[in-house]
Amino acid sequence: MKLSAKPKSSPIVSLTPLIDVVFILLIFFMLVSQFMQLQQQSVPLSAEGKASTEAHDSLNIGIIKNEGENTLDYRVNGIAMNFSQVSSYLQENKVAKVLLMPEANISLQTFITVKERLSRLGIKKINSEFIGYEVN
Amino acid sequence: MKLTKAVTASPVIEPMLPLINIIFLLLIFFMVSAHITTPITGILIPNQSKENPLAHKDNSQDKWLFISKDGELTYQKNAMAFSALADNFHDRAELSILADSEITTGMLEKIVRELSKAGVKNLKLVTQLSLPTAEDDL
Repeated sequence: MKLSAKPKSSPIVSLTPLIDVVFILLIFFMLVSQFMQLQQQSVPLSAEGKASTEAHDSLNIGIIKNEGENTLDYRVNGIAMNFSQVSSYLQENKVAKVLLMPEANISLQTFITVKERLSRLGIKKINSEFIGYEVN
Repeated sequence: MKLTKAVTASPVIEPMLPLINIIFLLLIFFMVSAHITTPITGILIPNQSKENPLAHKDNSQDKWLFISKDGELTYQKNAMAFSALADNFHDRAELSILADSEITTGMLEKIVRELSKAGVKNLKLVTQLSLPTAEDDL
């Protein structure tokens, strides 16, 4: 008669399905997650009337696209300039307020880039006929 | 002399453990830190280099007016005619716009003026943060 029971070996749990599931979850989260923090720019709608009143005490800068060369021309008080000339003009005349008047075919990205470059030059207030931009 | 080495019964999973640990850590990292968002397709988000984060309350894409580079309007996944802007937004005090970065300012101006006429008081343009562009490309 055999009294002592044979010790049972513990069942082996396979980790492979767990790893599969974890991999799938990892790939899912990597694909659907977004770390980009969206930003905003305010568009003051009073600009329609504001632009005309502010035109008197702001420097008007027209932005014109050079179709052939894919560059921009600027018109400051009717004089054609490139950006470095505009930059020198603004610094020499200590301009603090600017009214941007982009041509209708200027892209939104180009417009935003020009505004940001002007703000980096120390312009405190940049407005346009449809989009306002105040540098804090 | 014993030539044959005794075969040790080591579990196969053992060399995989560091890999599994790293994968678990990555998984936890993504689960905790990331926001699951609906991908924005068909629209190239404009870049800006100045940080001005979108308010949390404005983060819902259901409240955004999407404008493609051709000026096509989409609101809450439905196409909208330009003439319907005034009817749809006459009671809205504020609105976020996600306009394609390639849209012309002329086209955007037309839409913004229409929204202004409809009575929208506060308009925000949704952008994304990026490094400043090269100085000599404009």
